[in-house]
Amino acid sequence: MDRRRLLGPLNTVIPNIGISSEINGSKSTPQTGISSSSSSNKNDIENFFLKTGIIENANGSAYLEVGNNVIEVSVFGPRPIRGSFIDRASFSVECKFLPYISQPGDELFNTNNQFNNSNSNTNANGRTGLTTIEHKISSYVETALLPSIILEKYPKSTFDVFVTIVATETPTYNSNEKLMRLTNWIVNCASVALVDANVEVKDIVTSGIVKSNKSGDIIIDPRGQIEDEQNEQDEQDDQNEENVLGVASFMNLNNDQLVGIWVEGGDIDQDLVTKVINGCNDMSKKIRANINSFLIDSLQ
Amino acid sequence: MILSPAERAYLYESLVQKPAIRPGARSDHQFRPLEAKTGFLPNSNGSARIRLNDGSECIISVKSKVVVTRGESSLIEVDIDVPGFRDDSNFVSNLKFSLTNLLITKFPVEYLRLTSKYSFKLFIDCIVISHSSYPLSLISLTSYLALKTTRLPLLTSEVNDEEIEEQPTFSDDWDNAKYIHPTFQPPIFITLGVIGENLLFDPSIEEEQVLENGLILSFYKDKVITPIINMNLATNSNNSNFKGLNQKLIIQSINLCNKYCPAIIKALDTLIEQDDENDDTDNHIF
Amino acid sequence: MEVAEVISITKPSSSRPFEDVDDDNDSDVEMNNTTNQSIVTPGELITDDPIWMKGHGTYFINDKTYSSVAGTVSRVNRLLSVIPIRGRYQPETGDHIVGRITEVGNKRWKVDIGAKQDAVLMLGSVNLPGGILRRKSETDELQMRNFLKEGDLLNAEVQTIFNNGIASLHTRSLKYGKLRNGIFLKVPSSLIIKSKNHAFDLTGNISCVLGVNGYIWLYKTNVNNPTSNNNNNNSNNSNNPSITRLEEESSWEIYSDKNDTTITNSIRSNITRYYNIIKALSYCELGITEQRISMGYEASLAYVNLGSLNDKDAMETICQDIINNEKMRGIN
Repeated sequence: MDRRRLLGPLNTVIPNIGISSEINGSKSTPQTGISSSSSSNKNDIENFFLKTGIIENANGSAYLEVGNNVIEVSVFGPRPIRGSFIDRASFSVECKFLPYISQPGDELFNTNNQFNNSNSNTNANGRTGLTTIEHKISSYVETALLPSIILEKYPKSTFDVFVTIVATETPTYNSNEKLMRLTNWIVNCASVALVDANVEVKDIVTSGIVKSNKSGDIIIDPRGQIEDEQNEQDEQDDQNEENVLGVASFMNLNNDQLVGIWVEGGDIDQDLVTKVINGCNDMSKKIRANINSFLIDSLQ
Repeated sequence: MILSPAERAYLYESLVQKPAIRPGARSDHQFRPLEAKTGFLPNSNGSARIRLNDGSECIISVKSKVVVTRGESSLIEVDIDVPGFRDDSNFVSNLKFSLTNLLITKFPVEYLRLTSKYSFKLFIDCIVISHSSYPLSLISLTSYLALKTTRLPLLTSEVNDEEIEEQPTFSDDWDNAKYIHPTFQPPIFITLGVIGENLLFDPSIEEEQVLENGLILSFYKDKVITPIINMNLATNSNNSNFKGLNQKLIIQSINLCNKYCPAIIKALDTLIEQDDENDDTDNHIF
Repeated sequence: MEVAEVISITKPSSSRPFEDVDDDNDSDVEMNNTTNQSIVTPGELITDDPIWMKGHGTYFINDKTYSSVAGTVSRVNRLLSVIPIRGRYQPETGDHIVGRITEVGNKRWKVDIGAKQDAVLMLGSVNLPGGILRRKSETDELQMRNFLKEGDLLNAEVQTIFNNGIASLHTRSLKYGKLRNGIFLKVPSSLIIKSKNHAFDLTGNISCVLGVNGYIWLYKTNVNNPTSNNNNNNSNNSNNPSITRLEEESSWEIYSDKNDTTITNSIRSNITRYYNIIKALSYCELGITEQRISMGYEASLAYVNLGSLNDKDAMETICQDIINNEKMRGIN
């Protein structure tokens, strides 16, 4: 062994950088979650590729590709804690973009983090100094997953979920939309990782994202295209303000309990909120159905 | 903060009653009383301070700078400092994200445009000197007062400087300084605790420990606006009651805020008026 | 809709209403002299007479005694000490206090009582299920968390103060033990006036443990076991000596975390009423006694909407009522 160098763990897995998602998501492997294929219908959900158990060091992990977003989640736990006694496990989520990836809304929110950014880029352990945006995503995911985990079953323990964003979409559209879309898929991916880690949960949390257009209609799983069309015709900023964006996460088998909600954008009233929640619920159900069949397939 | 099981059970049982019996006997929609003061930092364009009876306190200063509009990604920059928390901690980062997001998306930026080339950029610095419950609504009410009383120097040069190479010039007389806009009302955040069928405004730290969920709504121009988010308000504690929300409560929360928040805006505006009236006679800020 | 129903925002005011209560009685000069004599600040010379013994809150250089804290000078026989106006609770043997368990350790619990250091409660200083005469066994040591765990509130008495200043507590009486059926609040310990009885019943089926350390527990009066002293009479009336009763009561129930199922809403709102009265007394920095709490209760009956008791004005009015009431009754 070379003692002059700092070596990684012996069983490190080197990620397949440079292989495009088209090759990976060959859509016939049993370990692939696929939503309906036609993309012509506006309310269909984009195909996504899902794989579990890719990180051997972790107790559970999941890998998800959707569009150009690539997300990896590893779950560590239950791990014993030192120090004082707690009667239920503690739970934390930490979300990180790989250093070379531009973060949506970077220029607006990560204003005085320049120091931290350069710090975390050079820092070998890489687990210090999350940016404001990373913290925001972490909080949403943590809030959404917290009610689903049966923490009472694990006294004196801790669960740590680490999310790595390997790739994101090119910023052709609104940074908020990009951020929320990413958050939406991270929740779905993290839920699967928790199941893969055999953590006892009440239900699998799944999430949906919707966007309202000018006339108040709801578009499920917006992918930026709709807005692009608008942008060509209209003034950019003002039109973006009009759209309401919403991410909501649910426990579908627990009476559709709403575990996470995040609404951004324009004006809001009761009707629109109801529509947003219902739209997200529909999408979360579709994703849930996909995840269910994926989990059943992977057991067989 | 840890409560004993008996305390938790008693508090939970009291708060799920209809109407909720809160420890301080506040009604569902009643805020804790505030003490506030504006315009006490002589070197800032605007300043405000709010204090609660339990010692929670927030001070905000607003400073401005003339910038070339094109070179800035946003004309508002927010910084929040909470003693006891690192600046890059999740707690502070989320407060900062929330406030920055609200102000950047909802602040009418055209009020800050000076000329066709130049704008004011506002730097909003918040210090939460002490807090017990989740401090976002405390910070946002203070920022309301600070922004509303922010005065910017009067521009004396031409508004249209497309062809001119010179920088804008301002009136030397501070008395000529103007408020950001006469009818401007900054957006605010409201925290609501969800427990049983009840929605509690401005939950105290004890109440936060037994809440089933927390909602944060924003309020601007007499109605609820986005962002709307949910979160676990009991930071640094293991809240065993935390669970999912009933969708109906979100609708209800919007209605309640629409009903009661105008009173908050009114109370804040009244305070500003009082501060304006006896500017010199009444100088103590503590 | 009234704004005041939702929020009250006021300007900060430095004046407290009670500073000038007695202004019109005597000449100011005399008043100032008397007050100046008893209140000292750190570093202030108290006396250069070497006959005084130096107590807490003082230091001496060359036979001159100086104050090391801000507070009032107290002279007991020849002992000279300064009692700090603010600061942490200083436990004294015999104090009835309310505390919260912070740590379960080896044969002992650590208890937060608002003092400089956490107090200890030894396993041997509590009543265990099965009665007072039982020996402590290893099983008891292993299940200490089943009796009291982190976060639990209890009322206890300060048994001794160790050399290092740490207080040792005991709960070996039926009036001490785990607290249930109510809410907790904290006030500065300097506001609690020591008296014979720190646990008492109040009007409206409410009882109160007014811990000397400023930790207060308000709860529903326990019908079987009234807190006030008359429970001595009860046990004397019955044929059995009190030890038997102690044995009965010392079942696992004394460590139960379950509240009564019959706490009505009127009891709950009475508790919040007392909660607000004590907060008001603390806001106005009045010493807190059983009598003042009762008088505050009467004064508060004028307020139909209990929520309005959160406002400064209402709190000051209540306290003014209490002071007027005391003057009328000739107390003070």
